[in-house]
Amino acid sequence: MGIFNGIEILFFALGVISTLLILVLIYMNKKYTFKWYSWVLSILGIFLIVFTIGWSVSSILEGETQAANMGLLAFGLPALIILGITRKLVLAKTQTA
Amino acid sequence: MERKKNDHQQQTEADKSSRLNRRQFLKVGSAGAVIGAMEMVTAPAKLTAGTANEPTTNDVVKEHNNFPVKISSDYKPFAQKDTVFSQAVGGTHKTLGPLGRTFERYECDDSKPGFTRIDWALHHSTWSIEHSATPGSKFGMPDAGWYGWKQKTKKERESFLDLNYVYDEKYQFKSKQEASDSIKRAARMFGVELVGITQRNKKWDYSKHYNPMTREEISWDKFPFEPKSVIVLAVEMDYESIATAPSYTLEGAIGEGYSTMAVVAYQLSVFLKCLGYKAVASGNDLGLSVPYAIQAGLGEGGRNGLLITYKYGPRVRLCKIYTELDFLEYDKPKTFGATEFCQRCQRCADACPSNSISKDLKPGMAPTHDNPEKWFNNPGADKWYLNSKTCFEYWCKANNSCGVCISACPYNKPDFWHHRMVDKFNSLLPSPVHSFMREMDIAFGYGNTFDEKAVKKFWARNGRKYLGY
Repeated sequence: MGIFNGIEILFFALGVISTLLILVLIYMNKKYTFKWYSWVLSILGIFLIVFTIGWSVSSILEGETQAANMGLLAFGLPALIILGITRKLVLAKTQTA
Repeated sequence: MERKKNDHQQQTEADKSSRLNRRQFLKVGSAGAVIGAMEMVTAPAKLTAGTANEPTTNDVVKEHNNFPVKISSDYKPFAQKDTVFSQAVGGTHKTLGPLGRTFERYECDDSKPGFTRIDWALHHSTWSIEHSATPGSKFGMPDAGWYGWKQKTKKERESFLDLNYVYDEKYQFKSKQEASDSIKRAARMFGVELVGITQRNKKWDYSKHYNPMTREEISWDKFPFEPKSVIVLAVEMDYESIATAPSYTLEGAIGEGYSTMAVVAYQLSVFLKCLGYKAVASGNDLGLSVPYAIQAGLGEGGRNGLLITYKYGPRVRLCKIYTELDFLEYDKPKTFGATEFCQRCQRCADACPSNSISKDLKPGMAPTHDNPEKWFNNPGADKWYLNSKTCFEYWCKANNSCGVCISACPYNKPDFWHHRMVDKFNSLLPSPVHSFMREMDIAFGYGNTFDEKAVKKFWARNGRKYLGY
């Protein structure tokens, strides 16, 4: 892997992903204007997405594939559900407005 | 034209506001940089020897002024003669004696992962330093090799190459903290990260030493000096090897742990002798390592009878250095909820192939196992008592040191951020949630035993790529 090891690359990537997701959030807020609950849900969803990537990649680096898969299921799935709900809430509000 | 002008005005205001944002951004960035710089300045101080036990010094971990386990007023120090090892190796027990002779017999099966000739070679090679440098110490033989008691003077040196002697002049430390920091830093240099320093406590010393080869009990009067302090070292064992329990591959981790114990404890004893203080390195001899380690703040006692450390769980081997130096800053006992977690978890008890681990919910002051023989247990401490006899009988049958209770323990994980995070949650969460955490540990695929895949992983060309190298 050259100069950096897997865990270093992972945490650098998590920083990049977090920044991009926050930028998307800011862009979405400008476009649709979030209510407070949309903020809470979207931040929770983003945190869970980042956490899922961190958990599963760390587990793969450890050689624990079952833990990686369970991480996707236990943290990744709720993250997608929460972000899906947030999207619905935001779009519904925009349509009614 | 008018519209264009308005657009331009709006654009200019937007630019102004974005410039303002950039300025704010710079302010926030600068503040972050200052905080980062302050952290960089203070970081070296945090990394000094005084924080050798760094992971155990945060708010999840509670410090205690007294020994954190209840000890009855009539507790008596244990006689080394009454350990299973002493009775088996000494041949004084009618069934354990002959059985003990069958342990570590040459028996390989190349079709059985973990028991092939290669695994056997790993087993013996890892034990080789321990057997050569401290022969017999694994079953508690006192005064053995590098764990020897003799405190040579300069004149008594065998040659100029002999560095193992007590200097005439004692080094005077400026403070107790300096003394403890120096010892811990040296221990880290020797390769041990978990170091605790505590007062000598006669409760944890064997009432009498025992040489199983000569069946001779030895009084403390024969010890060359009056020990004042005990330095306890916890040597990490290899995770991948322990994951193969029970097998000869696992024996690699055990043997490597014992060999490392001999090296680091000996080096630290010579370090103290060079400073003019008498010191004796010790493995399983002299005293009970687990209560000494608890007293020295290295961890808590687990259901499996082992020390559960914050960083490596039970995946450690313990060694000690007894010294006359008492101008030291002693560590306090620390707890982080491991014993509470053990109450609900019981993974080690469920996995134990000889059912030697108690399944009682709470620890008690005396053994509750159904073995009519209880001479190997020392009552009077609030803990889970192991049926050490059936445990050792299984060792002899399986022809290896088993280690299933280490492999199955949820605290036995590599030093990765997400495991430390789960450990912290376990410390903070109330007891009923611990049952759920135990089930999650199983669901996530940790703590498997009798796992042939683990043996293949151990020997795989790339192995487990911790940190992804």
